[in-house]
Amino acid sequence: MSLIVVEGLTKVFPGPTDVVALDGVSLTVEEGEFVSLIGPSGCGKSTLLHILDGLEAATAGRALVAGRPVDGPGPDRGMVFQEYALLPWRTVQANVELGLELRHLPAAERRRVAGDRLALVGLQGFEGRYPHELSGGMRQRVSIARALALQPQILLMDEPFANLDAQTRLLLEEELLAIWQRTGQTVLFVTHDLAEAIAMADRVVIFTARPGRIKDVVRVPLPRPRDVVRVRTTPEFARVYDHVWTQLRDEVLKSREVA
Amino acid sequence: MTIAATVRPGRPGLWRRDGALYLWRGGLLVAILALWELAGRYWVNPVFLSPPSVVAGRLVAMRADLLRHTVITLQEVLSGFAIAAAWGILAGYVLGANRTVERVVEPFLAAFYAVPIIAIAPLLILVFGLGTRSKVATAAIYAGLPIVVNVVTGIKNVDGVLVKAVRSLGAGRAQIFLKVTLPASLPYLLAGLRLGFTLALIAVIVSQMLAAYAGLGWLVAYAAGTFRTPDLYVGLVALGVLGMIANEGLRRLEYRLMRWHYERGR
Ligand SMILES: Nc1ncnc2c1ncn2[C@@H]1O[C@H](COP(=O)(O)OP(=O)(O)OP(=O)(O)O)[C@@H](O)[C@H]1O
Ligand SMILES: [Mg+2]
Repeated sequence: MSLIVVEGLTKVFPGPTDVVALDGVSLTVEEGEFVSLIGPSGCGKSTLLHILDGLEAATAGRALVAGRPVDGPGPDRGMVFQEYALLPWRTVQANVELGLELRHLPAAERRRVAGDRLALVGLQGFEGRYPHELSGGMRQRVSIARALALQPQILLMDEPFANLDAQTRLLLEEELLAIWQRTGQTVLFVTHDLAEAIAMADRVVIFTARPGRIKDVVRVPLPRPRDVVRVRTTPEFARVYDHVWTQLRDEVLKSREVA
Repeated sequence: MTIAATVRPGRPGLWRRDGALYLWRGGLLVAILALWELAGRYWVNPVFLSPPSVVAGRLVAMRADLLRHTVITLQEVLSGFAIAAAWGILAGYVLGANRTVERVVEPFLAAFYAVPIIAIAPLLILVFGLGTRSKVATAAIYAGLPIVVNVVTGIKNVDGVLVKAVRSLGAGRAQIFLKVTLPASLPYLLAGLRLGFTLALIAVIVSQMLAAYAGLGWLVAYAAGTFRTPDLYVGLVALGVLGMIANEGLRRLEYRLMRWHYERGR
């Protein structure tokens, strides 16, 4: 059985005019897979991740992780929020330690793990800083380190690299792929960057404009391990890129008409 | 409820090491005193205005009395404020955690807040007598209101995504409260306390002015009633200095505790 199974998932945010964020989404993700989610703004990508993390209940349909219905957050899943969601009154170090602290790990162990994860995202030396003292990209990396601290089996990443400069972004893409390859984690990776989506993933899931449905799932037949930069120059990459863009283009245009 | 105190008072600057600022402030003080002296001596009826030289003389002459009244006032303000902080914080977090109860209670709280202290004080004097107890009670009731309102506002303004983040990391209800709700609402709580302290001072002074045996409010009212204008000014100066020290002290405390808050988004 697949590690993640989503069946007919629908999410309606009630209000004066109900917002249908997801409309009958079905998707399966295998253990160890790297899956990119791409789609126009507001199509429900974040909502899907929040439901899988157990932060939000589905209106209809099912979400299973390891065969069990999701009914709340768990240490098997780690979430990187689009908004970073760092606690502003905590230092970088204390933010990364948060998950371990909530699980009552001893202080020395927390420090060790947090230091290790911060080094991973290239933030050693910033342990004592507060979020407001960091750039957007650095905050984003703290948020990634925090999610990695609990060593979740599944990583739910909501536009984790959106605010990084292009070079740091390439480095972190590389780093994430290395971590992924080493740990065998399963990654759901939301991005607006088409090239990034393809370069990183085994499959790219394309969403329609709101209400979010899955328009297509495109397999990326590029060999592993990949060089996230050089892979972009291969003819195979160009072919996939063209295919994904053709489909996405229609949806982006549609979503702009609505807005 | 919209009556929350300002949550970003900014960096306290009253005693900042800034030479030019000092100079200007000193200059302004001297100018005010000079003008006041002139007006008191030559222009205004001495029943209305005592010049600073006379006030200073009275201040020295009645320093023992002044100290006694100040100590009594401070005792009453601090006792009232302590009670206000206790019930205000408790009620604030209880109401903040229970949206339905909060919505039921809100208009009552707002109505209560809208009644001027001066209108309630006589009733409390009737109930608690002329002594310290009525002063403390007035302060305890009034100073609690902005604290409740601010805490509730603070809890309402907790960023939902922070709550999601700690839930995602495994926090239960108690941990959400401790790790997010409490620290996130702290700036509002502290602003509420600062406002509450000012209200406690006002409440005590008002109650002392209406009926009391002692206190700076009594001193001012008594001096006015008996045409002892210099004494009246001594009382006013003492109150001004007291209020300023208290407010600046609380602001500094607030700033020290809330550095992350005030320096955010600069
Ligand atoms: N808590 C909420 N209450 C009401 N509506 C919501 C809520 N969260 C999301 N929505 C709505 O649901 C829709 C999908 O939102 P979502 O954040 O999942 O989109 P997204 O695909 O992540 O967009 P983006 O690419 O801009 O991040 C949007 O129209 C949004 O306004
Ligand atoms: Mg999103």
